[in-house]
Amino acid sequence: MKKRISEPVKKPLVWIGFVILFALINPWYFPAGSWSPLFFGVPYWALIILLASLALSIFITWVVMTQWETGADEDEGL
Amino acid sequence: MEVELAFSGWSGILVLMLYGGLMLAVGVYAFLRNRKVRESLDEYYLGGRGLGVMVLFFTFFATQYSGNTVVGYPPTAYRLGYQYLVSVPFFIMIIMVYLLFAPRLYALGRRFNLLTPVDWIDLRFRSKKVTILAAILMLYGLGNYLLEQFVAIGQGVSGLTGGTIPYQVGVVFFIVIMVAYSWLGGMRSVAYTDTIQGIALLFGVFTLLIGSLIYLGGLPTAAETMIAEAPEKLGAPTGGSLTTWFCLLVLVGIGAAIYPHAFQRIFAARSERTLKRSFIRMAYMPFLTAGVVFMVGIIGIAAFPDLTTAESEQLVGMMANALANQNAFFYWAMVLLFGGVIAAIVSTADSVLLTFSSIVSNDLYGRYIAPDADESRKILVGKLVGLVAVVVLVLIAWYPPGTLYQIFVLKFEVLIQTAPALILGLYWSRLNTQAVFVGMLAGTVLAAVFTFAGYRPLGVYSGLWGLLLNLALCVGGSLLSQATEANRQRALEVIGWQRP
Repeated sequence: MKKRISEPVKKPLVWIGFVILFALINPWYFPAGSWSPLFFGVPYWALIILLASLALSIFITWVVMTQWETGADEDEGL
Repeated sequence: MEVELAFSGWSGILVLMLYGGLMLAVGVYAFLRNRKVRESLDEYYLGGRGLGVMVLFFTFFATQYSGNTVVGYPPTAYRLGYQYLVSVPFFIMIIMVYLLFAPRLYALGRRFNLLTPVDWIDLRFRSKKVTILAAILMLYGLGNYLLEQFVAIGQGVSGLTGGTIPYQVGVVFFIVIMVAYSWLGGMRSVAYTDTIQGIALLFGVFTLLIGSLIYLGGLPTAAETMIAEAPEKLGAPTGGSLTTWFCLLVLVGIGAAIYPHAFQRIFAARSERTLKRSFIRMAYMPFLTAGVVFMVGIIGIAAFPDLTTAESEQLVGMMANALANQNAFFYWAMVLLFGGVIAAIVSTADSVLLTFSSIVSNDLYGRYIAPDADESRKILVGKLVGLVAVVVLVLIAWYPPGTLYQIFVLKFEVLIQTAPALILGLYWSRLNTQAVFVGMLAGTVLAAVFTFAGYRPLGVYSGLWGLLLNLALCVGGSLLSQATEANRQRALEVIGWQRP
């Protein structure tokens, strides 16, 4: 069987990406209790967390589209 | 609900009747489309492994977002402020955790025709002890989960109808409808109703947000209130709240991905491509659901200042009242919102019940009691045992036992103990059956004891302590024991990519 099998869990790049993004969605890197400046009433750090979360969603999209290929359906002749 | 909803009464009853009728119609439609549904386990419990992108997406959506997301999250955001922004990334974490096991699990599900999570454990470990323990833990956790949904349905119905419909009548009405459409169409009914519920819920939360922005003040007003009265709700988290943030990301990520009904849905995808596309959509939903209800809670800080904790639990009802009094559009939008909340609870309950029945049908009755029974009989047994469980749980909901009530609280703590067997088993051929059994049992006992004693060392939840012990025993036991070559070879045949 010569299928190219690719699983996200076996890709170092996937793990590195997840670890970095996981670190970024935890708000440990802001000065404690700070909130200024506000953008439309939202504290700057909350916007950064939301941007990091969006980056995680985009990274997940990339992982699903390019790093996941098991050919499971061909196995069944589908 | 203590706050009387301005729109409760006959409009509420009307929407609930309409909703019930619609769900029954979906059940009849699913039944007519596929009359063979009662003859095949695959058809009944997995929709013939043929769910397309939209339906699969909404059925995942309904397992993750329940009525509690809409009613319970804004009050938490109200009390914690921006510290509760964690509710957006923790839903994304669930998809991240899925990616660590779903690709292989889906492929194995196709190759070995897996039906339930317990089916997978049995294939991997071939051990009666492990299979039965996992089945019991899942049935127990799912049963308690169902109990919680029934209580919520009753409260929702009596709140929406202003007590015109008593708690008990509401529960019985929706349970009868839920069981009827599940029995008619199995997984297809459940998934189609999940789709309708998802759309209703999304419509409801968006109108709630738009109405709040128009009539109750926006985020800048909320920020001014917080600066003046509670700057800690605006500030970046520190110390203990940082630990809570971290724990929530880990616990929700792992926990929600391995809920048996969430796990089982991977087997129901029509193709790998379908599954992938559903996951991609799920990765963006947290912004549109958790993010939206979070904003609603923040707006509430300025609109309804100085509520006590108990009062703040009624926040969504108060906001809905304020909007319903504005004009006819918002009046009906809020009726639909609360109808959608109840629908969301019902659709979580139906998924849980279906998975419960599938474990009884396939893993207990079908595997050990009557392996030779035909599939329609196995389905029938699953349905009937599910019904008995529903009746018992309803009785428990109405007459809560005074002393042993805590055993009905354990859900997540117990379910998460199956994670090492489910996930480690996918990748590690040396994982030892005996170690898995001991770890699962010890983890459950530890989590239960810590929960009952109210003991939470280092502020970490009891379920996580149980999981740590469980993992340590699984890994340690496997490393110390000599896995026989035959066992490893067998494991490799199952989880390896080479064809047997």
